[in-house]
Amino acid sequence: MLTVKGSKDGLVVNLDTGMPIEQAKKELREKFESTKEFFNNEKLNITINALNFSEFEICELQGVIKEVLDKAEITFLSYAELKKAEAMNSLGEEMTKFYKGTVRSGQRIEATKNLVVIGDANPGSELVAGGNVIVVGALRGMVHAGAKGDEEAFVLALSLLPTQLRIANFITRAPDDLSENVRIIPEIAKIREGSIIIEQFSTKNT
Amino acid sequence: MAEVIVVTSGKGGVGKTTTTSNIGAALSSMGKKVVLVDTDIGLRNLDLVMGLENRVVFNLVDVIEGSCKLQSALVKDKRFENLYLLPAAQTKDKDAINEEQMKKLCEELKSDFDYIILDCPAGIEQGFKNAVAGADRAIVVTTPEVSAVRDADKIIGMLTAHGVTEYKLLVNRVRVDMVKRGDMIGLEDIIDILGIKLIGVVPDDENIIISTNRGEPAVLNEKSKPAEAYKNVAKRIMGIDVPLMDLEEKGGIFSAIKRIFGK
Repeated sequence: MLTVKGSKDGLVVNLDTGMPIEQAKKELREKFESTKEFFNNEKLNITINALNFSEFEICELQGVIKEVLDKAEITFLSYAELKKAEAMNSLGEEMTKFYKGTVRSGQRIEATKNLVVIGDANPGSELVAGGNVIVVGALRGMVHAGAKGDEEAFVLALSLLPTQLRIANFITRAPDDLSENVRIIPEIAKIREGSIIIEQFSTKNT
Repeated sequence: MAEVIVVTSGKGGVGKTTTTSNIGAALSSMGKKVVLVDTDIGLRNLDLVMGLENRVVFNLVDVIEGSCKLQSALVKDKRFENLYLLPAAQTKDKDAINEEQMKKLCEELKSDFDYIILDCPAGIEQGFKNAVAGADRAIVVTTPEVSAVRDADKIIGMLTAHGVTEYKLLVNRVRVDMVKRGDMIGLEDIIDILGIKLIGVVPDDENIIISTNRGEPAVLNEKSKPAEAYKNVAKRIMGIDVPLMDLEEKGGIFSAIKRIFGK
């Protein structure tokens, strides 16, 4: 069996172990012949994943693809290179997610690790991150930092006015008396001695 | 015996959420244990109107999906002892739950409360079907406008089709002066078109907007006419026979309505 899968790192051709080289070539040719129109004139990354073939044989298979997709610009990646590329990409995403724009009511932005919102988060919106949350704007919705239990996580916003603020398993909410003195000073929320504290953000005390 | 009442209208903006919160507050102030369920998933408002937004942790969808216990999703009201809210989810949509799940939830709530009041979303789609699935009876809210009355008529038909056969009409935002001038549809005409019994008439009052924006129920305001009207509705729900209040000082068109209601 031969399958072709697309990912954001390119195409991956998977070949069943035990398939003879001649049959592999034939199937590969048929597969790409049928999708030729789609891939031609494109820039492609292709990885051939076939453990039982030698490097020489894999080169032969690459030759088949090149021959069929003669108008495409192909870069061949080895299986190890592909894995590395995947790891690099996911690492980047895992560290910090950036979101630009207003997060509106009903929108929920999630990040495995840190989350940076460049814009306002309106009431009714939800920001949930495994790590820290930074809002470069007004934070008026619900925010949950350290959602997987990280008590070291913090929430920082240029204007920190959340309906509800959660860090790890701690929850705090805005006071009920809607005092209209809208704070436009940057503030930071973190856990100290078992409760969430909010203080004015300054580069001195972090 | 606990009762599940759905507050519905078809048309948006006629006052379903305001009606739900005020009836709930009125019933609980009369000693009943009440839970208000916001079924408007994706456009939740009831928590906001009741001033409980910042207390919401879990919601209806969490309960139905089993990610939290029913008890932990219920938000206790800050003013009324026996009033609870089950908020809707804001980041999901109406298809997140189905009719069977709603029915089951209503049954579960019945064991703990005297009244379960469901705030139905506008429209006639899945959200409506979910809301009416578990209901024993309905309060159809309308305003004296042709479009609202037309939608109320459609909703009454749909209620019957969904097996809710006991429903009553609440006419909201009545402006006596406009009705008198003939600029608003009169109550008699509304009742004539819809052919269902009244459960209350609530006059238009700017205090409603003020209290809604403050997140407090209008029934807290002793002096306001809507507060009295909503309390009367609550009494009628409890089976107490109260006459329709006088919306204006001297007789006129409303005394005629009183006669209709009295029947």
